[in-house]
Amino acid sequence: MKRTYAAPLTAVDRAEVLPGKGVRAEKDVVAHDPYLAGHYPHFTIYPGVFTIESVHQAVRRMVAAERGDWVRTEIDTIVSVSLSAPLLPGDVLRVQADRVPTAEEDLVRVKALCRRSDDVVAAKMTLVLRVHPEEAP
Amino acid sequence: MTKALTTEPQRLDDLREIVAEVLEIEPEEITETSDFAEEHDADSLRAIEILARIEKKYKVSIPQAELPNMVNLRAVYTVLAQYADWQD
Amino acid sequence: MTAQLTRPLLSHADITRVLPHRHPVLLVDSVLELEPGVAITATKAVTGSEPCYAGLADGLPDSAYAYPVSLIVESFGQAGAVLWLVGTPDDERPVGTLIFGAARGVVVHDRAYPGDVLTHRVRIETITGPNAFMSGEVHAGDRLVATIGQVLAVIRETDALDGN
Repeated sequence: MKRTYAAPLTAVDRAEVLPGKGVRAEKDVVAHDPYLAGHYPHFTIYPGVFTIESVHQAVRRMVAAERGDWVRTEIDTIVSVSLSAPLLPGDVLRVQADRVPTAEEDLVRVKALCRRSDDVVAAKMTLVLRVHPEEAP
Repeated sequence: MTKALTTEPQRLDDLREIVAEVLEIEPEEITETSDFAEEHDADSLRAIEILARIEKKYKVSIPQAELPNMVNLRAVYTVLAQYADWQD
Repeated sequence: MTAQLTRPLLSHADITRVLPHRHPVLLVDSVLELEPGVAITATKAVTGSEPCYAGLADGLPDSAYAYPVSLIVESFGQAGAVLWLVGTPDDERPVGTLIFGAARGVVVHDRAYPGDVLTHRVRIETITGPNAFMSGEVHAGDRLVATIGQVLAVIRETDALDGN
């Protein structure tokens, strides 16, 4: 399926939306994804910002499930992110993003915990995303 | 020595503020002995951030080798006192 | 002024001698100003031929072409890494793999699109061991695209990373 927004890579392979609560998603880390050839030539490691991208894309799916495919969900604020363990080809990144209530309907705040298949915590982050409902063609 | 008694609680409070900001929790949640990793969910990068902020605020240099020792507020104070050469 | 009349302070080739990143994820094009250990001004041109624009559907609105925030942050972090590494003498440079450790307070103010040239202004806040804390702003022309409260770049031993 063609993408409807610019993204460095497909950063979510599978997702399960938990209505009203959040989203769970998985990304298989593979060396032949776009951009990874240069990160790095001698040793492939999933860039930390791509973990942010994985959470972003997981939340996009959550918002699309709630409000329709044509809303646009963009990162507004990276409140904090901490990348504590590397993700290498063969790893599966498992995202659990929990929704935190916000005062504004078009702002979605999530706290995400990202684990590898061996259960080691790879990242923690809090993101605020802005939903643009007016983008329908 | 009476001076030391008044400065130590103040310094602990200042450190508590720094740690609370880094760990994104309320200062009241941090006791002198609550474990950053176990009780406040800190990872190794947060520990580095705490060390960096302390170095900057107190203009001291603390070796990275001290990181494993800086497990709670009391321990951070002890490490800092050593490198800042506080006599109290 | 359409063409670059003077050579930048650091060219793209120079940058490849500082950063380990390579095409297509080397996201700093040139360095315009550099005060080693203090601040840097670096550029990154966004073009429609980048991999992030591959495979988009037809008939999308402008907003679909917003340059991904993840890549803006990566590009900023790389500019910061140039600042850090250029300011560190070779014999004091930590050995290992450069990685993005953490960030805090990254606020996006505006979108960047193909045709924009991002200008990163990065300042070093503090360096402790193999860890550098930096902050700054990203502009596209005179539009403020993002403010970066803090990014942490770290260097870790490659063996430690590879061994999980």
